[in-house]
Amino acid sequence: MADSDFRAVFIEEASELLERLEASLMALEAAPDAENLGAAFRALHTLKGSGAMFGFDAVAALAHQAEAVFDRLRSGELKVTPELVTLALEVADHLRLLIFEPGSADQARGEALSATLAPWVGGVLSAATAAAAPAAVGGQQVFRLRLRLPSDIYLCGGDPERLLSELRRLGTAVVVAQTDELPPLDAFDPLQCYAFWDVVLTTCASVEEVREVFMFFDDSALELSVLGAAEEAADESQRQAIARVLRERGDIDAATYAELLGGSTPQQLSAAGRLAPDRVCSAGAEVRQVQGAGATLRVRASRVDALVDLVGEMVTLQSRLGELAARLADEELRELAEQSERLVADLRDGALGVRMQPVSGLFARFQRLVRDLSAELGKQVELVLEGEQTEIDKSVLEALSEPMVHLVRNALDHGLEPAAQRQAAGKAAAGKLRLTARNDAAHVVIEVEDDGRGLDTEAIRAKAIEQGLISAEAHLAPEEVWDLIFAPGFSTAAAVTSVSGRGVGMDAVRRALTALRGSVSVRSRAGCGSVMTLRIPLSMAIIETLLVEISGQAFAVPLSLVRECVAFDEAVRSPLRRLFEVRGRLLSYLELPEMLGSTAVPDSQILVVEVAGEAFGLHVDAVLGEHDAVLKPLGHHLFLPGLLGATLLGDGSIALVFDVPQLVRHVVFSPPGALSASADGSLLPEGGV
Amino acid sequence: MTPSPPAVAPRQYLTFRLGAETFALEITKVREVLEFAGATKVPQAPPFMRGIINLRGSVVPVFDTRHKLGMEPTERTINTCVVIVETRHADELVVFGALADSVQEVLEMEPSQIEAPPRMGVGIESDFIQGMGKQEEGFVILLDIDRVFAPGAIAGTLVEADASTHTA
Repeated sequence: MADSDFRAVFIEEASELLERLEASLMALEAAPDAENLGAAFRALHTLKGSGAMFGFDAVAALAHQAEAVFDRLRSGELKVTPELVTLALEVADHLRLLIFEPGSADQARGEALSATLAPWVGGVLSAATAAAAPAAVGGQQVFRLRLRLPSDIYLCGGDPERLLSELRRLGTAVVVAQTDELPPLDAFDPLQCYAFWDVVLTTCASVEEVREVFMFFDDSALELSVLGAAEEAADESQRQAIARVLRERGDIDAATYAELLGGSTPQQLSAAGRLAPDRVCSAGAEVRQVQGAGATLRVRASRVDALVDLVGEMVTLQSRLGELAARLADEELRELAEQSERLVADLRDGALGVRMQPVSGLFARFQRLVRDLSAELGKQVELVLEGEQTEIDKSVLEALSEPMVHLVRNALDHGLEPAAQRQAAGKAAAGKLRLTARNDAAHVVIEVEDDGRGLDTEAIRAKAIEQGLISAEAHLAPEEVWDLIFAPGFSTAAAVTSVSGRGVGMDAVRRALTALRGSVSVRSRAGCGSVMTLRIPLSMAIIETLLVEISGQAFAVPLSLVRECVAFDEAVRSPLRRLFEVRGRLLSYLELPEMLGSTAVPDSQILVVEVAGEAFGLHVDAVLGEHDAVLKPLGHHLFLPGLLGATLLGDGSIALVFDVPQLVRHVVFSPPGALSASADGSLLPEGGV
Repeated sequence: MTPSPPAVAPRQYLTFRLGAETFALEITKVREVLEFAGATKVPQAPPFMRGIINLRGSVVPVFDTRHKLGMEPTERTINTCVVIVETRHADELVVFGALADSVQEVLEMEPSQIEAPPRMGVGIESDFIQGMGKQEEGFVILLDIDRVFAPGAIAGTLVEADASTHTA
């Protein structure tokens, strides 16, 4: 590999390291504990080491100094103070410049930082660092447990299985049963417990909490130790690591350990009967768990995309195969087709899953942003993050970054009032900003909530009338008024409403979300705050759909939105008002066949769909069956509302895929009677809101 | 003694008929020509969009060239063809199909044979015309297919529809 390739690898790694460093520094401010100190220390340690290796000398030098300071913080020689944290953040910023924009890194600044750090560094900068902190894998600890339960545990009413389940509830447990002490069958008493278990537990729980699981047993039942840092083991080969673990557990004596280090393999030893295979297996599991916990593989995005495309083709091919198998009515072929369908479904889920990442990456950025902004604006802000493990497609994550930054800025700048005003209104001085992420059927829902002023409905309405967006006589529900803030060019003066921007911001946010085939909306209560809700479809590549026939044409409805299907003739209550009844509830339906210019057919159906918690009906001529839709866009510059795209059916024909939320939204906001099929078969109402 | 500028080579054009007139398209923009076997209708599509077709696994929109140029919509016959056009819009490759009553031959024309489009009297927006190619039997109208089906023209209906749903 060329030198430049190595440097590129370092730069990529550095990006992650710097993020981790920043995150741990932010956490340190709130909670100056060993865990966060350890995380910051390790990041600096790695930056120093790798930087030196790849020739980033300035980076290595600065990181070395910072690392030394953090070493002293870890050992308790120094106390964590806000100034130190701010200094550390500045160091992180400078390191970032040095690595990513070496041209703009100011040497004088680097020297100044170094000088500021110097007094904190204290004594001689040692080349080696102190004993490593416990292995914390992303804020968690790794424990090694050996459970030797009393042999009469079953007779006492105990159950090892239950204990193991409790351990599993605490985190990720890798359990390896040790069965080498099982006696031969003729000596075997089923009421005795002969086995013991090695468990490697990765958990956020504390030592005490883990011990609590075994509180009914005396101490000798449980051998528990906290595992050492993974970096110590970094230089070890797999074999050496396993040997070390076996020695630490006491499974092998010193002489055998020396043998293993010398070159014998554990497999050789167990073949010779000197080492139980279960022990080796267990040691291997631990090594993998500690080294591999959080292990990731860096893969070029284009490769993943190519893979997803191929999977898409497979799904299409699969549907054709399925149709052929059904048509030929060959039993063997049908069985194969079914098996193939299951495999392809798993493959599809796996391929689409590869691109998913937790939103925590996105949210982490906001810790820093909120901290800086709150200082800048002179407002105290409490940031609450929820649902960070919710996963979302990588490209969507990147596309959401800017819109969300804008929403957060808005909330802080215009949503939250200054402390004095808040206290006068009986609120806490510190404003609260809550970012949540969750899954909702086929969507990811992200909310940005603040407990500030809320939207001034009247002011928005007035401004909209002034800008000619609505007429003065228009009667709009509050939601419709709030929605106006997303109109292009809409802007209100800062003093008037809580969500003013440069007039460009909110419009850009909506456009960004629309480009992702998602949506953004706002709810608000005057004086209490506002909530911005972003909805993004989970996967755009392959969707499970239900095929329906309308007006002789096939259409696809995303299956995740479909709740049930009822016979039209039985369910309809008022064809004029488009109302039908299901399970005692009166709901409205969209008269799709009429919209497409055809008349009703007998035995038609209503599909009950649920959009954002509300149920609606879709009147269709017939339901054809399920179909895995590989979504094809209709053409780059064609973006027709109400349609997500098209999909190819098994026989090569095309079915259009409905964008149900969009469809429903347009219809719900139009007055009754405004829907009609226009000459060209347009689906959407003329006139509108 | 300075090298003379390279001679401007004659360009190739695909000629096709729309009604009684013969039109031409730069061959570099033509990907292939298909028989028109119908298209899947798309609701809410612009009126000159005939529908979409399955082109070896890709979904391609098909536009009625006659309709867009202000003529009577195309009536399908056995000669009706879809000319698959490939063009670039803002760095992106755009593929779509344009209907023709029939497709004729590939002509080579020198730049000298091409005259500037007349100001008026041609019956279709002169913006769409690149020039008039002189042939023995008359003229062929060089169509600027990028302009005819520019994204703006197609997105037009979308923006109108969107705006109309926002006003009270």
